Amino acid sequence: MVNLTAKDQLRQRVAWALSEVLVISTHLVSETSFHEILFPISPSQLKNEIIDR
Amino acid sequence: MKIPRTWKWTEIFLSYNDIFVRHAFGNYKDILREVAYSPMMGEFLSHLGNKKAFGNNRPDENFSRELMQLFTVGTKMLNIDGTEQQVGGSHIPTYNNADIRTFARAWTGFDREYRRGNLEGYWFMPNRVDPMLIDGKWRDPFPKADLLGGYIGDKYPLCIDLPKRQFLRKGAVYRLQGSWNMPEVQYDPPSWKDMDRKYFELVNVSGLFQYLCNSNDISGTCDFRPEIYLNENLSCRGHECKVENVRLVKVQDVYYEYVRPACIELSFHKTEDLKLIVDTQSDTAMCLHRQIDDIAHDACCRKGNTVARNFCKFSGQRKSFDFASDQCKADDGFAGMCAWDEIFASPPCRLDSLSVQYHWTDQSCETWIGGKRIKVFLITMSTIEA
Repeated sequence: MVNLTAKDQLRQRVAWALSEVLVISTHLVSETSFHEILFPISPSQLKNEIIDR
Repeated sequence: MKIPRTWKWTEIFLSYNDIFVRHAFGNYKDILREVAYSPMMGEFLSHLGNKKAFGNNRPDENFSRELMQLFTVGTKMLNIDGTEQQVGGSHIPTYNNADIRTFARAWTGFDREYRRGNLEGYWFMPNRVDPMLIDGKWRDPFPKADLLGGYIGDKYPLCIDLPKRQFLRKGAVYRLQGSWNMPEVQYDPPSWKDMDRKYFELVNVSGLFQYLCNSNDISGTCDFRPEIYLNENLSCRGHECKVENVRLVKVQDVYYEYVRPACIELSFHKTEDLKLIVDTQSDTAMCLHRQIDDIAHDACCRKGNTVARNFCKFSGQRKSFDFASDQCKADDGFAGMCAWDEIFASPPCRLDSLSVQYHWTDQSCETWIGGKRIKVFLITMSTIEA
């Protein structure tokens, strides 16, 4: 954990505080995005693609 | 944020956190910009893959809402000391649902950047590190109001008011692409990447060539810099005088992309300024201001003939109506634009028959759809009025 020992502690801690405001979480974001790889276009998107053409 | 111990790949989160490390003592606006373009935020608040209104689709309002509620202005108007503004004992809302719907249209068209080689993970995983790109096809085209009665884009010049051949003028910016032959901030059909294209290749007598090559030894070896600004107005040489704009320029074996300055295209124009443009692939037609030079392609006709030809100095060259007419007459001996019913647009100008390319006609055009005139209501979605 480089940010526990890094010399720029103030910067690291401000960054941590900002990350609590502009949050992303592993609750909605997966590690690998495998879903997207297996299903590059969702059925609803596919429908939209067809409508668009 | 806690990353589970079992996770093997962490670069995506570290690169997101680096936004805050970079700007910790900087400007909140820079943080917002980077966060908004981050593919991780795009996944989390679902503006990644968000599309304009069409059919039953409406733009996703998630990011538009949270950006105001959580990241910026909040829901209530505040005094300068941070206390709530009150009118008759109740607070004043900062924005309403119509504002959210308007802003939702601004967060459309976002998609992932191409994957590059030096990212963590497998080659088939998406690029979750680089800022998202905007795909014009899914971008909402209508005006977007802000919270103060202005419009996004206010204070920028109109694109049609910029001087002709802006790419040769003082302040023009070029980005080094190396051997990567696809424009990144302008658009070419992705299917063109591996096709044999006609590039806009500069000759070494051109002033622009001298700038981009940046040679300072007698052998003429180029010393390419990552970004080039023109410090003076250059005059055009050779085929530079036969184009109105460029996307990629080729200098010896490398490509530079011309970065267009930010400018505004209006959504609605006077009828007399409009000409009809048609794409045969999607079988669609639109109205376009005759001076806009980076949307439609030429379609030159001989007198009385309705089979049009397409000419170009580089693959996919786009022209304004007047410039296209003049070029047809001067260079190619044709009569000008016409109401064509067939078009020969073949390599090198058009590389495949699948990509969408609009061509000029000489037909007048009005912004009517299906016999109904479009009307745009301030702030809310554009609606069709009977």
